[in-house]
Amino acid sequence: MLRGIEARGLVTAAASAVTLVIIISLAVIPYSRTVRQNIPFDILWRSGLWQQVTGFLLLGFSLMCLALYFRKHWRRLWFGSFSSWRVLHGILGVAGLIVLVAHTGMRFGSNLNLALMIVFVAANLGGALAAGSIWSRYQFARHLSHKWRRRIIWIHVLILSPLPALIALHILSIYYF
Amino acid sequence: MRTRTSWGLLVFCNLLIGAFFIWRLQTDNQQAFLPGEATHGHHQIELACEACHIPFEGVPQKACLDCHAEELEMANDSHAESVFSDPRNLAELELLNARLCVSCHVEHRPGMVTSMGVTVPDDHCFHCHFDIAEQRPTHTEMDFNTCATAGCHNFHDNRALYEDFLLEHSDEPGVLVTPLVSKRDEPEALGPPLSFGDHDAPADREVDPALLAEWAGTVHARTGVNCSDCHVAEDPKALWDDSPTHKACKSCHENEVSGFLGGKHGMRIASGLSPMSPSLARLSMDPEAMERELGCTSCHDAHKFDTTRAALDSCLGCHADNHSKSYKDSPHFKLWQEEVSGIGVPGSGVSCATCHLPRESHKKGDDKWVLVQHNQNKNLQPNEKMIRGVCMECHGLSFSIDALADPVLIERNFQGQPSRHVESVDMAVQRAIEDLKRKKK
Amino acid sequence: MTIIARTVCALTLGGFFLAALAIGCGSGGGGSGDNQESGTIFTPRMMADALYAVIESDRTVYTREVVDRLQDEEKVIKASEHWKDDKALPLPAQMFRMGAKMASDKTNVFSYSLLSLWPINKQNAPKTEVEKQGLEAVAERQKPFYAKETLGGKTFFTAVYPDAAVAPACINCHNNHKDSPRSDFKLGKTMGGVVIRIPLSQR
Repeated sequence: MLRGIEARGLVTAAASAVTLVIIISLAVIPYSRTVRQNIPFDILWRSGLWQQVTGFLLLGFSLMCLALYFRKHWRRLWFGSFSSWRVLHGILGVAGLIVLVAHTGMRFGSNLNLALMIVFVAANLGGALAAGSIWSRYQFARHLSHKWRRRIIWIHVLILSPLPALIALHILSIYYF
Repeated sequence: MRTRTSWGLLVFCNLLIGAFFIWRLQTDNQQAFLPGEATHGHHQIELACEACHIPFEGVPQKACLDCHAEELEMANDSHAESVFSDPRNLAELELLNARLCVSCHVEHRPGMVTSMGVTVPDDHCFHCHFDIAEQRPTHTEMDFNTCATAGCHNFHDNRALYEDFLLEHSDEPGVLVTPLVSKRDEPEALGPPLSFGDHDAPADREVDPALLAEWAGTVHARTGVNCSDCHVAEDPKALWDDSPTHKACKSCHENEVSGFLGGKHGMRIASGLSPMSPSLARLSMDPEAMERELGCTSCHDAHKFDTTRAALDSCLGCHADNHSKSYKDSPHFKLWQEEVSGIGVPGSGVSCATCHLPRESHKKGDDKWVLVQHNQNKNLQPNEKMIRGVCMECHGLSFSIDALADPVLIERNFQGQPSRHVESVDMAVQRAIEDLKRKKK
Repeated sequence: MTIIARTVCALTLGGFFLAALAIGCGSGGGGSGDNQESGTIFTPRMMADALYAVIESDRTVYTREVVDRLQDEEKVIKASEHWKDDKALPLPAQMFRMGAKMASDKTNVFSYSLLSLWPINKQNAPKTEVEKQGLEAVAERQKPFYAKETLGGKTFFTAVYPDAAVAPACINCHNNHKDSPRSDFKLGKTMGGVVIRIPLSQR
């Protein structure tokens, strides 16, 4: 039962993440060219308040994603099965990407912001790959070997490693400048 | 054990990244934090962060006003901060806080910028003037994104565009009867005229006679400016400076130097950066000029101080965009050649400087004097800022408006006639006629 | 291991707390408390009346002793809307507005403006409900009108005083200007209103 849910959850998360990453990397949502639009969507990028709301939401999602790591290595204190935590992790990852679109309008920026954006997007791509590799274990007879699955997850984690510093510096730079 | 090593590595790598950026924050080069390129107006000083930003306070209004307040005051700013300060405008300010420069001029957001460094949509006038068609039926069919883009209105500077001004100058021909610019005044002489032998360069210095000859032929020699007047060292103990900077020029040419420092050529020096160089420009520049640096003498030469060269050849030595390259085919250049060769009367020629570093008349009581404005930014954009101070010295208002509203004509450096007619003068006249009719009734 | 994990958990919670805090701080500037001196207490109405007396007197002096005398009697200099370009005197209404602008740069304890139901510049038509009521009331009764109003979340004491044509220059210009909606203003009659606002709350 859980396997089915997990498999479906993970594949949906993986597929959504890959799609979103492709969209993020290719398209830029332009700023509105009129003040007379019905839904003033670009207030997300024009207003400092909205930038903070989406930014800290993103930070929150990222930190919640981190919980999977502790569920794995610090079993006693947590509830729920590891599989359901993994599905939640996938959902949070995809949700984070959606908030990323709201935060950046898919603009990568320059320098520090560019680095942060690349790491963030690449980490999500790595996450999608990891989800896919775990899902493949349930779906196919000739699935990826355990070693490869571990490697992919390792890459996902490795890409994520500079994120704490980059996020902290990004937040610092916003309030500093 | 392995986990502990991984954690250690993770922390180390993050600390390393953090340390790098924090170190950059302490240095003069904070490019690592630059979130996006600055607009055309500020890109030269985009790495002089503290020119605008105060740590943890953002960009205060004062930072903008430090450089632009005087200009806005001169321009009779139609939308000055004080226009909005009355509480009756609070509802509109919630739509767009027009009291702050940064509400409409956000920096480092390349995709947000329209023209003139503006980062709100072109039709922002709609917020307050949505009912303009009720007061001006002629405006019914006009779209709000054309208010400031069609040669009719500016947000700040409407000195050449307000209705009564249009009316006053409505019957002017394309070229005025006496198309002449004012004669430039020079600073007061420091002493009696000097000749070759009067130079006071220190005896222990080898002086190139060619340089001395150049100096002896200048206004400087004629007005008693000797070697030591310019080669004065900043260090009071030293008696001589081989390469004087703008600071030496400033002692006599204060107005010109402050214009230079406020404009595109000197703003980097003013912000404590290296001098502006063609390699840093966004406009097309001559590839061979890329490594040059801008100071007073890069255009005026160190000993010749030839204003004819400074007004044209110096510019074209670096600027290689289409507008600049088309200049020598323009009727303006023909007039300049005639003036320089003595056929044309003084003031009849039009060089680069005639329009971009224009002669400004000043007046106090009975005293009148004309100085060259070295801050080309003062009349550059929106280009209607150029109409009163420059174009109308020689051209009629309506013709000037039409010409400046035609980007193709500008690129061809005014070879030919404006392709489109801006109807603002006609509208002003029409309204005046209607008003007269109404009063007669 | 556990220590690190706990730290991260704490950071997670802390992050959200900080987020909430930062958003809270970022969105609203703190208001400062009233700083009243003890002694005589002026009501907003008294203060508005006093301010009006000064504003109105200054402008009347300018209108009668400068503009009317030099333009219409002595005929030595003109007053013009484009006084800078025309090298002329500012119009009395412009002198009034320039003073209001300068005062607004110096203080936000009060603000004042000159409005009318028949303005030359449409931006000076009534905008708020109280302005409308006030201008109508003073045009009818020629007596001050007082009310409270809330603008942008702030409460104001708003006083509207009748503004009459004190000199021929006023009605000449307003009756002949092509943007003026009326051409039958009469000397001594109300042309609009002086609106003085005193904020009663900081927020």
